[in-house]
Amino acid sequence: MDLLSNLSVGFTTVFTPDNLAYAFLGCLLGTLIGVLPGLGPLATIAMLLPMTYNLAPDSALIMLAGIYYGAQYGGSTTAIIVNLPGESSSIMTAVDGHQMARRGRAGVALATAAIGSFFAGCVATLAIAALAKPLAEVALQFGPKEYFSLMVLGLLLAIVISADSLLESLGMVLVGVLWSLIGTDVNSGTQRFTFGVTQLFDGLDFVPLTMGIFGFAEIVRNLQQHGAGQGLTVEKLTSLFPTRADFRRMAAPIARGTFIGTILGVLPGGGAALASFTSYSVEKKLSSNPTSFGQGAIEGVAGPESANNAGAQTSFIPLLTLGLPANAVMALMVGAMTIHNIQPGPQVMTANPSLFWGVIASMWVGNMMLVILNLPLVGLWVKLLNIPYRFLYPAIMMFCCIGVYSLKNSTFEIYEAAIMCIVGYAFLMLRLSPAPLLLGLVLGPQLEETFRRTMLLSRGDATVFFSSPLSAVLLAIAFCAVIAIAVPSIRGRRDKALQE
Amino acid sequence: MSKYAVTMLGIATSLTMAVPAFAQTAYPTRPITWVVPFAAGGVTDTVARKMAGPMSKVLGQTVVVENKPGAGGVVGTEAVASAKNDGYTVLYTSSGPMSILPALQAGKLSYDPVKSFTHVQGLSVANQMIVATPSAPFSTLPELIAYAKENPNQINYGSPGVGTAQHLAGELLQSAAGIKMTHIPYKAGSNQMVDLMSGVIQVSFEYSSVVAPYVSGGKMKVLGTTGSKRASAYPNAVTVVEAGHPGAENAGWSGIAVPAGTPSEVVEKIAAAAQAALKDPAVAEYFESNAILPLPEVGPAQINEFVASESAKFKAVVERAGLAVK
Repeated sequence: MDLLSNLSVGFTTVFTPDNLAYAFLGCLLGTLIGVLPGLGPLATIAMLLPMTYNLAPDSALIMLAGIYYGAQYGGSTTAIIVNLPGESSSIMTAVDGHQMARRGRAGVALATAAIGSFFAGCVATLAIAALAKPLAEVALQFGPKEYFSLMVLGLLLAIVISADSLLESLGMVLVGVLWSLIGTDVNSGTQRFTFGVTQLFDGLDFVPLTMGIFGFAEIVRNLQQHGAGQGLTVEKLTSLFPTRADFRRMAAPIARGTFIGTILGVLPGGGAALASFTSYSVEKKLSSNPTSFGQGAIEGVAGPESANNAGAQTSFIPLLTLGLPANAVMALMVGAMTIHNIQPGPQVMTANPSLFWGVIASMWVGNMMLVILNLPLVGLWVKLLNIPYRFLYPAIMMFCCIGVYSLKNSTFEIYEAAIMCIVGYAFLMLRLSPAPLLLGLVLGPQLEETFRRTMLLSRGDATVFFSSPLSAVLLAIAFCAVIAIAVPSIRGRRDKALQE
Repeated sequence: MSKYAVTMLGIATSLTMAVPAFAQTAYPTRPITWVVPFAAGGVTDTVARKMAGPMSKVLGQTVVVENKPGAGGVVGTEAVASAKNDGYTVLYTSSGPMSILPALQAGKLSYDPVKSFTHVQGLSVANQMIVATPSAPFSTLPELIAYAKENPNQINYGSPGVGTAQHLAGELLQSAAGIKMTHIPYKAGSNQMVDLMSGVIQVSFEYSSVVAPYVSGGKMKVLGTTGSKRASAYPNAVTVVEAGHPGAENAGWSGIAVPAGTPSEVVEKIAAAAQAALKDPAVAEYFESNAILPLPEVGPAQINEFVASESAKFKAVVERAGLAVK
C-alpha cells in the first residue's frame, strides 16, 4: 500500500493547474525542438534549461522531464520521416521506420512509435515507483568486469541485427571499435590518433557522425537516384493509422521491448541505446519472417521504440535513488537540481517526497500528453514527405548543422559530419549496413575502459571475468549467441551452395 | 589589502563614469559571453550560472554562460585565447586547463596560460575530501596511512582521469606519507562513484560537491581533507596538515580571464562585478555548503602571482610523479 500512497503524493503534486501546464509546455517544446533533425534530447534540454531556472523546483523538474520525453519522441519522428536518428537509441527506429515511410506507411510507423512509447512509459513508471530501490541495487552490482561482459554481449548482438553477412557485420563492428580508440588513453593520458587536433581528444563525437553517415549520405543518394523534384515517398500513401493486423503484429514486440528497456535502462552509460539494439535483435530472431527486417517491418519499430522509451524512463532510477547520472541528459538534470538547491542522491526520496514522487507521476502524465499531442500531428509529419525534395533537403541540412553546432557550440562537429557524409556514401555504395559500426563506436570506449580497469584492479589476472557469477553468466550467453549466429549462417551458405 | 583594492576600484569606477566621452567607458554595451569550458550541469557550470545573474546586475548587461566542453577544458580555453580582446568574451579558468594540463601536455597546447590571457579575478579554491567505501578497514586519514604502509599497493584509489587535480591529490599523499596505492582512472565521474560505493575501489580524492550526497546517505565515509584548515561542512574530517603530511596539501582553483591585451578598464569592471557576485547570498551559500572558499581578495593585482604559484606547484607534482605525456 506504500506504493499507492506514494503515487497519490505524486499525483497530488502533478495535478495542480500550474504543474500540468508546465508538463504540457515541456512536452510541446520538447517535441517541437526535438523534431528538428539533429537536435536530440541533449541539445534540446541544454537549450531550454535556463527557462526553468525561475520556476519552483518541482515544476522545473516536471517541465524538464516533459522536454526530455518530448525530445526523445521528436527524435523518433525524424528517424522515421527523414532517416535521421537524433541519438544512439533511435538508430534502430530509423532502420525499419524509414523504410516503412518510403513504402507509404509513415503514419503507421509514427503511430506505432507513439503507442509503443506510451505503453512502455506506463509500465516503466510503475516499475520505477515499485522497484526503484531494488533496481538501483542491481546497478551497484555492475562493477568493471560485469560491464565488460555486458559490452561483449552487446557487440555480438550488433552482429545479429545486421542484414549483411556475418563477416561484413563483424568487420563493421570492429571498424566502430577501432574508431572509438581515437582520443585520450584513459590509463596514461596519451593522445591516440588525434594528430594534435584538440577536438579529437575526447574521441569522435557520436551525433555528427550519425548525421553524416545516416542523414547526409542518404540525401546524396536520394538526389542521385530520384532527382530533386518529387517528395520522399516511393509508394502511394496508405492509411495513416495501424490496421487490426498491424496491432496484432506490434503487441508482442512492444511487451518484450518494454521489459528489455526497463531492465537495461537502469545501467549507467547507454542503457537506452543497448536496450533498443537488444530489442531489435530479439524481434529479428523471434520473427517468422526475418528477411522483412530492414525492409519496413513493423516489429522493428514497435520493439526498439518501446525499449528505448522504457529505458529512457528507468534511467531516472540511478539519478533519483543514488544521485548517479546514467547519461549526459541525466547529468543535465543533476545540474538543474543543483541550481534549485536540491542535492541529488539517496536522500531525495525522504527529504523531498513530493518532488520525488511528483517527478515519477509526471512521467506518466507526460507520456499521456505526448500521445494526445502527437497522434493528431502524425498527419502533419507525413505531409512533410510530399514536399518536393529540393525544398526539403536544404532545410534538413540547415537544421542538422544548427543542431550539430549547438552540441558543443563549436564548428568542428559540422566538419566531422561533412567528412562522415562521404564515408556514409561509400558504405551505401558498398551496401554495408552502418548500424553495427555505430554500436561498436558507442560501446567501444566502455569495452576498452572496463577491460583495462578490470586488469588494473585484478593486477593483470584475466580469470576474474569467469569467477564473478554475473560476468560469467553474461559471457556464457555471449558464447551461446556466437553459436546461434554461426550455425544458421554456415547452414545458410551451404543451402545456397546446394541451390547453385 | 582588499579594502585598498576596493577603494581604488571605487575611484576607478567613479572616474570612468565621470568621463563618458571615451569610447571604452561605454563598456559593456552588449551582452557578454562567459565561456565555461566544461559541460552543462557540472560544478563549474553551476557556479558560473549562479554568478551570472548578480554579475549582469552590476554590469548592466546580460552575462550569457556558454558551455564549450572538450579535452578537459582545453577546447573552450583555446577558443577564448584566440577571441577578440574587447571584454565581450570571458573565460572561466580552473586548475585543469590553466595549471595542470600545461605541465602534463608540455608544448602540446596552443595557448600559454600566462601569455595568452589577462587574468582578471580569482573565484574559488576547494580542497578534496578523502573518502572511502563504507566497508574499508580504515575510518580516518591516519588509519588509511597505517593500513597502506602495512599493505603496499593493496589500496585502489579512483580519480576522474589522469592528470586531474583529484589524481594529483592522490599522488601528493603517496609521496608525502611514503605510501604506495594503485591509481584507477575513470572517464566518467559517475562510474567512479558507483565503484567506490560498492567497494571495487576503496578510496577517492573528490570535491565535496560531488561526494556530499553519498556521504550524507551513508554510502561513503569521510577520512579527511587535503586542506590545512578543517572544512566547516565536515568538522570531524582531519586535514593532511594535522595528520603530519603538509606536503599533501592540495586544492583546485577557479577564476576569470580574458584574452591578452584586453583594456585594463574593462578588466577592472569585470573584476568588480565578479567580486560583487561572490558576495551574493545565493552564491555564498552554495560555496559554504560545498566546502568551497571564495577568493574575492585575489583581484586583478594579485591574480597573476596566484596563477603562477599554483601552476608551479602542480608542475612540480607532475614532474615528481613522472606523469608528463611524451
